[in-house]
Amino acid sequence: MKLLEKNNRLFFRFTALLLLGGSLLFYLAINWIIRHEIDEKLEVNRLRTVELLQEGQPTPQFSPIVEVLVFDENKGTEPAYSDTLIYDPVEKEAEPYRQLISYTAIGGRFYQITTRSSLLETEDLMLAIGGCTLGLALLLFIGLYWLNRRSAQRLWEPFQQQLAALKGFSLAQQEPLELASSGIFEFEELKSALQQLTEKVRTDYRNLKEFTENASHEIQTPLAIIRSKIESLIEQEHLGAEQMSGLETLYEAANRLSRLNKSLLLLAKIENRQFGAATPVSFNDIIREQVEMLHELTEAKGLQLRLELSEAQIVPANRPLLEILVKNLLENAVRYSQPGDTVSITTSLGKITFSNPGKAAVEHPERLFDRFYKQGNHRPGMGLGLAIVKKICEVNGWEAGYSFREGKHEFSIIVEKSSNDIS
Amino acid sequence: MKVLIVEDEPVILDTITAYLKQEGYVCEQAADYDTADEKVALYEYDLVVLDIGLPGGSGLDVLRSLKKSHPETGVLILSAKDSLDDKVQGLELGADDYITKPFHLPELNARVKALLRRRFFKGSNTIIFEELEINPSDNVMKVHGQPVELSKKEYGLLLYFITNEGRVLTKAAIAEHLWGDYMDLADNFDLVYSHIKNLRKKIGQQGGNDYIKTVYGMGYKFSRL
Repeated sequence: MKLLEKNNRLFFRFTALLLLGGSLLFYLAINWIIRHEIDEKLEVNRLRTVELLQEGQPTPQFSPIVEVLVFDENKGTEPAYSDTLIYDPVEKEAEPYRQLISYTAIGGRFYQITTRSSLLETEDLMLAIGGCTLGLALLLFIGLYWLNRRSAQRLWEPFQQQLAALKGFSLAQQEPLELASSGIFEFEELKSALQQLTEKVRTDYRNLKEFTENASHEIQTPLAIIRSKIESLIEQEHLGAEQMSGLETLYEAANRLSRLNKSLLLLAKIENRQFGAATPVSFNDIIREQVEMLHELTEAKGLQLRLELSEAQIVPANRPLLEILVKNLLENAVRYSQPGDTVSITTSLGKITFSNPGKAAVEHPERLFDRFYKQGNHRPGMGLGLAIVKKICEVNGWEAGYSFREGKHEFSIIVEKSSNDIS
Repeated sequence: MKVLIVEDEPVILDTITAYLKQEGYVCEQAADYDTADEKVALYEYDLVVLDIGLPGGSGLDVLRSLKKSHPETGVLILSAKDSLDDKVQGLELGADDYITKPFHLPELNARVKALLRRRFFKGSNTIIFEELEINPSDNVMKVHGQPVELSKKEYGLLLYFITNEGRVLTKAAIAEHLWGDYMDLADNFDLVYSHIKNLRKKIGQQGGNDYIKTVYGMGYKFSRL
């Protein structure tokens, strides 16, 4: 639920309750006052009738306002107010009346005096008052709702702006997070807290990155020394099988470390965008070149390579990077195929797909492009090839994806989005 | 042949020097910019192996002044893997070849020899090893004067062996020499082994001797019997 909505809902409930309760109270109060007035009027009329009777005037009759009945014996009880309906011959319908029935003894005779007052006007009055009240309440309600909404929107605007800026924040960006000033104390506080936080995160991230890069750089030389020393050591004639096997293990480990280091440096370099400017490069040409270089290797493994290079894919990119991208994807497809499989490379408008047969989809496709993620029991690669692919796509604004379809692993690079390319 | 090796890391400098000395070159060393700059100005070298990142200055500046004073000197650049620009700039400034760090010593040796061959023999000299005869300019190999058909990779392999005669070549060094960036995959498929097997067979069929020795699990050595 949105904050504004929650706030509005609360306001809505409270106002509705208030207006409802207020209206009811208002109605009751008005009703009571009018009743009271009518009852007083009925009492006054009764007293006047009694006066007339005492003066010996003829029995007043003005149906249905005043009705006097004469009895020989006392029927009287206490005077009583009540509501009643009386048929009006003019209007031809029963109309509501308030009546006061009382008993009086004058000069040895007993009178029942009934005074009445029509409630019709009262009802009209109540209706009018009710209508007005309702209209006013509704107007008030709508007005307040609107006002509340507007003011809340305006009040939260700086917050929304800050949120948008924060959403667009990336660790790798060069500039610190810029937030607009709002002049509101709480939001200013939020702003400074956010800026401090993001700045700290950025600094930490930069330090960490620099550390990784520096470490990789510093590792280069000792590694080169280890490798070249082993290479000169094995030249020595007097070494036995045991020493040689030890040196071999060392040498393999050093080579592996060296390759790993190269990949890490490459990743850092792509991340820092230290590669030269983009020039128009043909994807198809690079694919053909790399396939040619790989030809012998695929033959040795008994793989078929099928190229379906339909459209000329000229993209603005750094050529060496594009070569690495194609090489890594090719290498990946070759590495995870079995002898006899067919690896196919397809280019269509804005899309390049590498596919190779497989038994099942990878277990964690979302982690496939992560660093050092390795799938199952295959002959392990460095675990950085696809991470490099993803990074190259990132700096070029492309998209790298994986899917498993009809028994095939499919890695695709989407260079540009086109609407007819969804299938 | 006189070679100047410019490299700031002393251990690597010594290793390269030792390796090239064994190949019969006269080697001199420079470990920083000033020494290198002074030496290329004062003396004449057939080849300079030049590291770019030097204390006190850039190897590219050494290259510039060298090309001014001794344009005929061959230059092989040692560049760090991640500095593509150095590589490109170095070649533009007149370097003959580059090799990225870290490299295998036999690879450096092969590059040095190829460079000197190109520069001083115009690539036309035939390499003769006992009964084997190789002409790098037209990719032809003869055994006892009879031409033998070799694939491109086999030819490259043989040339790499002969250039590094008497040296142990590790499988990794061979794979990198022949397949470059795809060496990992080549390594996985034991391609080095199958190429060596073929090469032995082809030379043997023409009555040539088997000069390739297996050095435990490490690699191979090409040497006279």
